[in-house]
Amino acid sequence: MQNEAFVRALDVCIQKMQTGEKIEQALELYPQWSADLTPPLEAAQVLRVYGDSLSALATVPTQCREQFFVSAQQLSQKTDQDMSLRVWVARLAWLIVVLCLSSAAIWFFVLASSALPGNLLYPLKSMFWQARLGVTTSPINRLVAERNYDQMRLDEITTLVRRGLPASIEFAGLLEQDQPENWVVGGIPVIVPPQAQVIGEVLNHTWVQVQGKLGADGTIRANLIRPREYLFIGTLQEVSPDELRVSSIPVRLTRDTLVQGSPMAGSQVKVIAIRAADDSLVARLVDASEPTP
Amino acid sequence: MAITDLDLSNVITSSRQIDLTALGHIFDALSPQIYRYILFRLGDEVETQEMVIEVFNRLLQTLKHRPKSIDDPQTWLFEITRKLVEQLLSGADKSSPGRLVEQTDQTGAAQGIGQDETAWLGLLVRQSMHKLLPDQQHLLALRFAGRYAPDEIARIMEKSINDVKGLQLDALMSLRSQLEREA
Repeated sequence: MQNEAFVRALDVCIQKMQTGEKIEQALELYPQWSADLTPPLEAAQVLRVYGDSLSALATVPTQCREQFFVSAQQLSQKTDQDMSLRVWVARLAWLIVVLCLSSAAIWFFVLASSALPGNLLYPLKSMFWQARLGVTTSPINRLVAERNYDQMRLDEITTLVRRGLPASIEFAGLLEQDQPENWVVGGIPVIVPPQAQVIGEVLNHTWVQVQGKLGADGTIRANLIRPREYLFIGTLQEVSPDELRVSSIPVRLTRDTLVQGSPMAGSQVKVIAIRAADDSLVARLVDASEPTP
Repeated sequence: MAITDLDLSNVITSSRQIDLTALGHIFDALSPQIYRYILFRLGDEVETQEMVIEVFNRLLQTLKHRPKSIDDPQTWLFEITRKLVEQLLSGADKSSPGRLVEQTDQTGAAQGIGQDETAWLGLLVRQSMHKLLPDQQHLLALRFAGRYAPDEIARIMEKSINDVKGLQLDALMSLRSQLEREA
């Protein structure tokens, strides 16, 4: 019975009834299904009458609309409060994040500053020092920074030796003894085997730079030794036969000092110097041949 | 303006505030059908009003928090309304089985039939409908309260037109039997 045509017929009859026709009138189109269509159409008739009775109340009461708008306004105000609360929570969250990051950075920096060669954070410490040297433009300040750096490296190596931590090392110190193989640099014994490279003129009681390996037994075997040289460019302020003053830095002249050009007060000079036991600088090269910028 | 053409995106502004004017347009366009549907199924004006407010509050909340979850406002509204009505009726069934019988009918005064007859008819229809399957109840309310055509009902119920027409036949046959028993 429930075929497509029958279902469509029922729907057509319902539409007709909704325009005011009675069941009998609606069924005139489908006399063959009159008996079968009558029961559902009777139910539809009841629903139609009930539905029509609601039409009198079809308009949404004004108070319903008003109540909804009161409710919407309350929600809107709550939204504002939520928004301001959310803004404060977001600000607080940002503050906490910034504090955490700052604390982590400080903690990281403190940790890195006490790192020793071979340690994971040591490259960071080296990078920091290199950066610090890089941004120091004043010759005298740079010289002070380099000396501090040398001292820090020396202290690190002393600690490593004391702890017997093997590592590849590089440091500068005062050469206090130059026995054939057993040297002392910055108070630290250094074995200099015959195959170690010695570059340049390494003088006793001057600062030298050592590259090598620290063994677990606390001994240092050097691979390379050379004079610790300081290079700076500055304005020549005073000239005397034994000494120059370049950007407030006194530099001694010796017979071995190579002077290029004609250094005159006020000119710009490049100086390469070594460091003596009394911390004075001894010039190896004074180059005044470069034009003054 | 067709209901499906309503622009719901204006209700919540870019600063996440509620635009009451836009909200008014939405309410005026959609509330009459929702109101009639609920009244058809509950028969109580006060409950109907409360439920209309609840339905639109939910619309507002959804527009605010999950606007993309509403593809078709009419379908969405009727789905929410249906759920609320069914919750209320099933809750009422459990707490007070005779609720539908005891309820005073407030419809029908303008139909030329007496208050008593209207009240009796309302109770009879609701009691009988309440025994039908949920989909059947929903469909009959849409067809006879909302006066929606089968194609519109198909869209609202997300079914095919043939399914809707078949369901309509089954619903009316079942209702006819229930009416006979209740009467």
